[in-house]
Amino acid sequence: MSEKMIHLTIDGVAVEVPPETTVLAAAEQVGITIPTLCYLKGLAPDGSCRFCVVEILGGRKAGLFTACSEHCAEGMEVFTRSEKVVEARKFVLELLLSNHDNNCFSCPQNGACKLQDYCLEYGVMENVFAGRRQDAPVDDTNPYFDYDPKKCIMCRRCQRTCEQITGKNIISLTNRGFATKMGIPYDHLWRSSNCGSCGNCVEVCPVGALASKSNKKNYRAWEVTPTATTCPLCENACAVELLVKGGKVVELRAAGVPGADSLPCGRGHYTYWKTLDAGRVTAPMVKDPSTGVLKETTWEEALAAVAEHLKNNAAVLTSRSTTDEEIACTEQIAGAAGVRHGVFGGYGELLRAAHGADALLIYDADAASGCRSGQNCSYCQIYCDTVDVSALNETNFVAVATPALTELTAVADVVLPMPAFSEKDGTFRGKSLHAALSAPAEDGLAALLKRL
Amino acid sequence: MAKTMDVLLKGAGTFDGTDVAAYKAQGGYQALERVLGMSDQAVLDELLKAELRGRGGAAYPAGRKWSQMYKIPITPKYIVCNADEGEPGTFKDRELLRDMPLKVIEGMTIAGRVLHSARGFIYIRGEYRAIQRVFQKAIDNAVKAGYLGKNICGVEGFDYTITIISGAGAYVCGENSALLNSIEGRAGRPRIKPPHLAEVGLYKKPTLVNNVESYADLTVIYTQGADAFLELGVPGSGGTKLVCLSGNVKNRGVYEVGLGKVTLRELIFDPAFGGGIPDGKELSFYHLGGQSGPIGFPEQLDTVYDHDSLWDAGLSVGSGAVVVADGDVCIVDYCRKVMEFFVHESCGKCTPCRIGTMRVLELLTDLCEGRGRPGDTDRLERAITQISALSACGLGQSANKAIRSCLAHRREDFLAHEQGKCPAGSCAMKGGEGA
Ligand SMILES: Cc1cc2nc3c(=O)[nH]c(=O)nc-3n(C[C@H](O)[C@H](O)[C@H](O)COP(=O)(O)O)c2cc1C
Ligand code: SF4
Ligand code: SF4
Ligand code: SF4
Ligand code: FES
Repeated sequence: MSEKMIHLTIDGVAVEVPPETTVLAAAEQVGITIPTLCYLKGLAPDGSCRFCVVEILGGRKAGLFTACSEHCAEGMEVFTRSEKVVEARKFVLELLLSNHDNNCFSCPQNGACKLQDYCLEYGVMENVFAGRRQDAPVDDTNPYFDYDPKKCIMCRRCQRTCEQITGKNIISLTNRGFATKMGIPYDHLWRSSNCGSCGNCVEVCPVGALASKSNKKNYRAWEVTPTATTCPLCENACAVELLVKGGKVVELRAAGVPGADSLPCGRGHYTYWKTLDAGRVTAPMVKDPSTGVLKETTWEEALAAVAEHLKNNAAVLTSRSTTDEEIACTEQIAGAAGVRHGVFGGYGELLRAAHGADALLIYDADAASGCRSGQNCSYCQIYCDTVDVSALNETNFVAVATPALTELTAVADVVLPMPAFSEKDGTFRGKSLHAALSAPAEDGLAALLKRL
Repeated sequence: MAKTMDVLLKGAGTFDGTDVAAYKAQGGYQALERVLGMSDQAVLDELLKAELRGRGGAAYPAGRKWSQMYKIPITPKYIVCNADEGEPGTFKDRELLRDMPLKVIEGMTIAGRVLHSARGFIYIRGEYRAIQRVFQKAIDNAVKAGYLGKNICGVEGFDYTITIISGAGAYVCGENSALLNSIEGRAGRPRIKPPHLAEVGLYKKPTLVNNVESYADLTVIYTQGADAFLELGVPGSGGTKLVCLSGNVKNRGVYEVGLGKVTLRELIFDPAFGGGIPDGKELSFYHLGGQSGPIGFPEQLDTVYDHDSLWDAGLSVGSGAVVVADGDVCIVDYCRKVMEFFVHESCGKCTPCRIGTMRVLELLTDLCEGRGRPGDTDRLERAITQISALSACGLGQSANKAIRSCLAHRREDFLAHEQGKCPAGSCAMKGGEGA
């Protein structure tokens, strides 16, 4: 600690901080919360909402300063809730409310909105300024979320996240003064931008301006139960929460602040957690030799067929996107049967790994989302597996363990049911997965291992 | 008694200001040559002693700004001249840029020398297209004469260049951090400070921003010495100031005055300056320092024109604009027009300015169009007080000043408008036209 420490008081509490600490951070250090709207952990302060003002006496200057950007100085006396501060914050809320579509009933963010929360806290219950309001149509051209400019408070959290965290820089403020607008520049629609639908802008929007389509259609904040888990889709192992309503997952959101705590991608945010209603595998199936169509069968028949073919030149191949425990299970199956084991990412890797095998047991762990091959919806830029797997028809025997029917099960002789991501407990990259829902059927691979 | 001074604009218009030899014949480049013989510290001390306060509007002591900047150990450093001259009623930098470009160049070169910067930028407002060409010619001539470029005045390692950047018509780009964003090619919105520009300025490097007139003043300080400069003005406000008289006044134009040497009454009524109100009308009020400045009334005319005296009277020098209005103007309607300016020029970044100025404009428009309600005057006062306390940059922070003066001195006019009456009988409500 060669740095000279700075001493100040916040609401009468003495605080010691290193130089260049913001008042906001210093207050946090002694457990004093200062309300913020535009501030976002991990990013340089924007200082645009002006809601975080505190009153500063002593030191070099006096007056109202934004806590998120102002640095502590020796001898400062900071007051976070003085009359002046409360009056100023009320004024900011009144202004924001006067330029906001206050139709809270129809707003997806109802109950989880920072503007709503603060208005309640500061007793701003009605619009005191009748006047002009921003007005522009909702842009619903992104497949996963909508943008309603009438609700935007211009905090630029979305813009700064897209620019500084995801590195895409898709959205920005245009125009100036009262006509200032957030959105895709030059009045383009979301569809025609280079947006990768990562959804992190939606995560950070403090109001209902950016909201997922699922949020809009399926749920409100108070109806959902969150389950903390880990997204096993890729190496990043994002800490996420699954929101469940009425026995269904309705949303995945980042745990904490995008970028600072976790940064789910578009596939994680919008498709991976989905469990299809149609096409869910709920019982073992075998291919009817006469019609070539899959039909449900008994566990005994299905497991016996797989066990019979897993020998000699067979292979057990498993998707990389699943728990360590499930991968270990497939390894044990391969070991018990005395055949080779492999791991694959997309279907391209699967085909290479399958090359030369007479019989295959494939665990297609991330099949449940339905956002897979062929659906290439051209502009979401979410990873789409478009590899044609019909070449596997050449293999003598193919068993697929999967939560859902896909083009891969179309080449299968036997199908075993598996839990989807939201139904799994386990470990991935040292982090825990927790089931938000129970699986509709027994775990096919576990049953197979027991049988062997 | 009152007289115009002939220091900064001495000889202006009588010779080709872009011609180095002609400029030197007028005493040009003596300041730079003197600075070359002084230590950095001596140059900084002299500036502090001269009590030069920034001429762009905020009146920050230049000596202090330079000394802070000098201490920052980061390189490279940049020198920027603010020639955006966006404040309505302000047209004094134009005189210097057009008639005395080498004086501004010399001032910027002194800054480059002392602050060890090899790179100067001058941000000239887009409307001054012809002046930009004049200024470029002066730069080219200075390069040819060895006063810009490499090894200036034959001093090994004294390199300095100046580049002209054209503004594009946004008032807010005169705010120094928005100006730097604009030079960098970003949207012209102010930055949040800290970090201060002296540390993290243009391209994230230490940057000095001063006004055109401030740079020109340096040539006076280093030719005549700090004592002489201080004596041109008064303690606290050294030097002369270019004042722009316009509006309902007989002799409009730019006048050079010694700070603290004339009163507002002399400025407006003395034949050597404004010469009074035309057509035998009465003085109603005068707006000082542009739209972002306060408004003065006849009862304040005996205030002396220097930074501290004006400040004590609730007024300020600002950019040096003095816009005079005669008896027929409705003060509430005038405030409405001032607010229209801020609504139009707000960059839209921060809440109080983006939405607040619009709400104030709506309130004033209601008052002017007969839709005033009891209590509107108090509402107006609350709104402008909050907007100025909460806004992120000088634009929003000073949008209140004109209205504040009017509320302090002519509150009864606002109260009358609440009742649907216009004492001047000239606003839209009475005239039946306008907004
Ligand atoms: C909205 C706004 C507009 C400004 N416009 C100008 C301008 O046109 N010219 C200028 O010199 N300073 C202008 N300023 C002041 C500058 O920010 C800055 O204080 C000045 O250039 C510093 O130079 P000085 O210390 O020499 O005055 C403006 C400030 C604000 C907040
Ligand atoms: S979804 Fe991602 S890429 Fe698209 S605008 Fe939002 S943050 Fe940027
Ligand atoms: S869309 Fe949301 S996050 Fe973006 S500026 Fe508007 S309110 Fe802020
Ligand atoms: S005060 Fe006005 S001009 Fe300045 S940053 Fe805020 S919105 Fe922009
Ligand atoms: S949170 Fe500090 S200005 Fe917005």
